Amino acid sequence: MREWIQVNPHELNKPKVERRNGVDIQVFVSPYDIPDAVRGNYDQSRRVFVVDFRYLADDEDKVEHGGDEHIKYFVGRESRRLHRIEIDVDRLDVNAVGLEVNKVIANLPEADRRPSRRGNYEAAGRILENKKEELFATVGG
Amino acid sequence: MLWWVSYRILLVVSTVSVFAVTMIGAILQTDAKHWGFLETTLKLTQDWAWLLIIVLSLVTAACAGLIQFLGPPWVWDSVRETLNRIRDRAFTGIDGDPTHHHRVTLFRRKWCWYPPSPARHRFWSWGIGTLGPRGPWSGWMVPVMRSGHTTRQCWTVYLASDRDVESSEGIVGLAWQTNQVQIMELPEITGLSTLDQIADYARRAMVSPSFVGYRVKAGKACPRTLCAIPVEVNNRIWGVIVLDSRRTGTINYQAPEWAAHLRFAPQTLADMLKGV
Repeated sequence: MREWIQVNPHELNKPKVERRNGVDIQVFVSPYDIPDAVRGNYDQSRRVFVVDFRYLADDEDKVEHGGDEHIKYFVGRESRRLHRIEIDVDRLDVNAVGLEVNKVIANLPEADRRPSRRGNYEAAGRILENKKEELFATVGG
Repeated sequence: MLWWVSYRILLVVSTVSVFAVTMIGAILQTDAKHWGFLETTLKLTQDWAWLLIIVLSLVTAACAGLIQFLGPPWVWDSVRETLNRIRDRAFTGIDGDPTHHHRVTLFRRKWCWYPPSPARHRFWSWGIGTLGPRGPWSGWMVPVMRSGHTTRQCWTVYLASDRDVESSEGIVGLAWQTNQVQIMELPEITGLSTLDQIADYARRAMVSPSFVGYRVKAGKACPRTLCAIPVEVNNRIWGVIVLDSRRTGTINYQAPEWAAHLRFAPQTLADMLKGV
């Protein structure tokens, strides 16, 4: 199993300005939804590349949510935060894996309950974009 | 101190009640004639066992309910200490200001048994929404702990209904509704402010003008800076931490260390509040 790669929450959680009732509000993603580390690992036996995200609270069961036959997403049972992505690298073009995952994350269906985890999915997507080289090094090699 | 004493008394009373019920159960199985000078007492206990068991069971249940309601005082002492540390870290440039000018309050979403103040409606304090009358059950952000040693008594609640989401009140209701950290700055309101200024402040702060007017009349300050941070326990949104300041520019969210402050508070509280 490869080491966790630390991510910088300050880089990842920049404020967005939303105007509401005539006042500018600085909006940040909930700190619970910002992963503090990520790791990628190639599972030889199942021939899938697994990306794991680590959070402040990391103590819940994961369930499959969305995805297709090539990419599977696993979210927290309660929180619906994105915890794991499993990618069928035999079917997907290795060089385009990072891009493909980002595209699918953008279309990941919202959980059918509040609160929204859109901020979490976007943060996970940004991490994949920023850490692409480190994460997918073993697949490329 | 009162909290600690009450909690300990309740623990002792509930333990004694459970022990007494167990003893009565045992006494019912015994023959009083074999117990010499205790015979009369045992006979009396056996005769009234049905009533004693009912009363003691009710006492145990009441104590358990109150223990649950109060929560372990040592946990809440730690929560207050954490709120104090959040206050020390999150505000900048507040040296020399009174403690209560820059506060951190922990709100929990729950039933509000007491009539909200100010009343949301003339005849029904909880107010009437588009979906009918609201009540204690409607979902309220209730203050459960505040930093510092002054102005700790806080009864101001905000609506955070999951049926009538758009009617959520204040930045605390907004943070709960969106599960996002929200920071806003507001204009100054004093006792000399006009009704228009009060209405403008209320609109921006997402509360009713009567809500702000009530505070002004009561001589309470209206915050200039507000920050709300959601708190999750067991991976579910539990409540919201609100930082309020009487001045603007006291929360430097552009600083690199702000991200660390943002993570410190929820991380610490999420562990403490499990099971409370």
